[in-house]
Amino acid sequence: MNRELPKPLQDALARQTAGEVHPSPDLLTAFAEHSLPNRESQRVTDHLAKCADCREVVFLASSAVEEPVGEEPEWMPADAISRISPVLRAKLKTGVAGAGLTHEQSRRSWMLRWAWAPVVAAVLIVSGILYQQSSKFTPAAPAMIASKGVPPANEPSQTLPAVVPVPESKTALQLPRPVAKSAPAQANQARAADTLAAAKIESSASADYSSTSRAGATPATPSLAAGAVLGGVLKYPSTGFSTQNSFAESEASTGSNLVAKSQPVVANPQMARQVVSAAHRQWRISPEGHLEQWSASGNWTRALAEQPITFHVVSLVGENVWAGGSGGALFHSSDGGHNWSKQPLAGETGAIVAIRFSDAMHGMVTTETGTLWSTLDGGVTWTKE
Amino acid sequence: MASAPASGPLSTQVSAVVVEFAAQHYPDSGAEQFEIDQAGLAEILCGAVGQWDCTAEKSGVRGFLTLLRLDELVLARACATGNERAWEVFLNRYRATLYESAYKIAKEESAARALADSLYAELYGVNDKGHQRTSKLLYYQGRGSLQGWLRTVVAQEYVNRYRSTRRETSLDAALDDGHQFAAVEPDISATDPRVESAVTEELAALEPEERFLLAAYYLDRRTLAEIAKLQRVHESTISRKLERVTSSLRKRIRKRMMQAGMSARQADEAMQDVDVRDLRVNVGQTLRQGTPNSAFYKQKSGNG
Repeated sequence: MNRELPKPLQDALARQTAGEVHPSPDLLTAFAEHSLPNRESQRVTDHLAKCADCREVVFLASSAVEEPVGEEPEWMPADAISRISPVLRAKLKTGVAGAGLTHEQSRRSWMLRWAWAPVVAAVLIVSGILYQQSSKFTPAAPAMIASKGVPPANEPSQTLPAVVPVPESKTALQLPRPVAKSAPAQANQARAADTLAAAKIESSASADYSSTSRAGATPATPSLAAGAVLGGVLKYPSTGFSTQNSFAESEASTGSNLVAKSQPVVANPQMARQVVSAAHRQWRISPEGHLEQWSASGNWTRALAEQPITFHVVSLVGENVWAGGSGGALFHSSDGGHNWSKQPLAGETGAIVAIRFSDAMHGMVTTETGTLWSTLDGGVTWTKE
Repeated sequence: MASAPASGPLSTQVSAVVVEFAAQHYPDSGAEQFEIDQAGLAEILCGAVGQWDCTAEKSGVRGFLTLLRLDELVLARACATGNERAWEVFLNRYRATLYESAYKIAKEESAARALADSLYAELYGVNDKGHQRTSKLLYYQGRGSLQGWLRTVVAQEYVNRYRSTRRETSLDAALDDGHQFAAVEPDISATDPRVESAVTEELAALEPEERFLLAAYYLDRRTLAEIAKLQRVHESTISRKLERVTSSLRKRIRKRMMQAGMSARQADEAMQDVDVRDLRVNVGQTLRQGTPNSAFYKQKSGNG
């Protein structure tokens, strides 16, 4: 791409002055993290367009953001490693001080140490599928033996049986062609296998997380389960008001509806990626203000495209997806984005800028004017506060 | 006790909202473990609201408070007041971040360590005289994450230091490095006021984000990847946006120049990527360079 602007334009761009007052580091951080309301974000952007110093600070700080480890960086939040694993950080420190390793070397050695984890996960998946398959195929054996033992009168005794006996191990390798199953049954089986695989990954991931915790870690974990994102990809529950104790308490008291449980924060980024991809829960608000979901085909698909709304925020609680945008529009899907219903916020015209749910039933919505709406029944009724 | 940066007084109504919010969120804030009571939490929040907008409306304040990183704000304030438990938590969570960020920004081990150490001292709040303890953490207002704030503060410190040390570069060292200090030439190129007016007006008409993109890419020479990372979009999105902005901007400037009475050719010349009138080439000096010692002259003088 051509890097040259016409000189008069370049000069005019450079001549822009921002004045003496600069945004505080606090504001610049919130800007970089996309957590400012639109109006303030515009103001900061306007300043940055004019102020080379502040631009330099923002880009430098952005360059220092921890790069996620893994093939697809967008699956992990930038600060996930440092948030979830103080043990890792401690090891990094000792590694750097003790062995004279660089940070990159330490990280690489950490990755090598955890290289077995994806292998274990893969073994668990395969064994789960094997188990599933073997249990499905067992009833077929007696039938096959019967047909073999008592052949029909009109068939010659040397005729091959209708169902060819296959060794159990071979059956597992031939997953795509379960012989005696109809198409829906195949689909069900595939879904069951996926679920089992996901469950296996999640359970192993949870185990990893708890072992990290037991090792003396103090991870920053979400106490409010729902994560909300303004203009970004929703990958993890937001940290919200979090302490380790509050997480433990909420986990004990609110049961299994928490996203934190269904999408555990894990020590191994590969596992986290698989957990998220298994759940198919990638949502984002595009820069154009569209609500988009990451589809299995590998691209972002627009949801609620027919709505003439600029979306600002999307939030997840389990299978429940909440999306809010301009004109007080709030939409809810209880099935992961297949069916949507518009939520009744009577007379609300301010754009929705934040959605927070502590579980599927209890949540709060904030508009740009600061109006708060809350629900105690999963969005059936909303009360203005 | 260290106090937060001065903020304007809040109206009674706004204070009431803050107190109510503090009471509602006190259990979640983690304030109790740092020996901060509800009134203390309300005071912290009042400070944050005052720093944000002390004339804010009641309804706006609620939204502002909801978006605050309450637990991190509480931790920062507890550290600033010298709470040992808070420092323990802070060090566990953020010490590595501080040093890693410094390393990534300074890109050199000793400079990074010096940068992080000095900042750490400022965060702890020991000034040069050692009398008064004013922690830098008091300036954290909970708008973004504490981790992100630390990165920004490190970056800011680095930029300040770089500037100050850059000014200290000795002339001798620069000359030894082969640097040449040319006299500043007066700007003799006269820009057509119609061009300047068209460019300035059209630039001002752009959205802030578009101007930011242009400045980051064309002035600062940031890569598409760097801009995309900051904006959390794909590089191709930034590339497309830049293409769109620059092409439409050129067209609009050209149109405006023509409306101001310039011919199409003049407008095109003014907007060419490299304007020959801006090339300050000293033809005489360039032609003279090296000629006295050239083979031609030697040969000629030998013959003569």
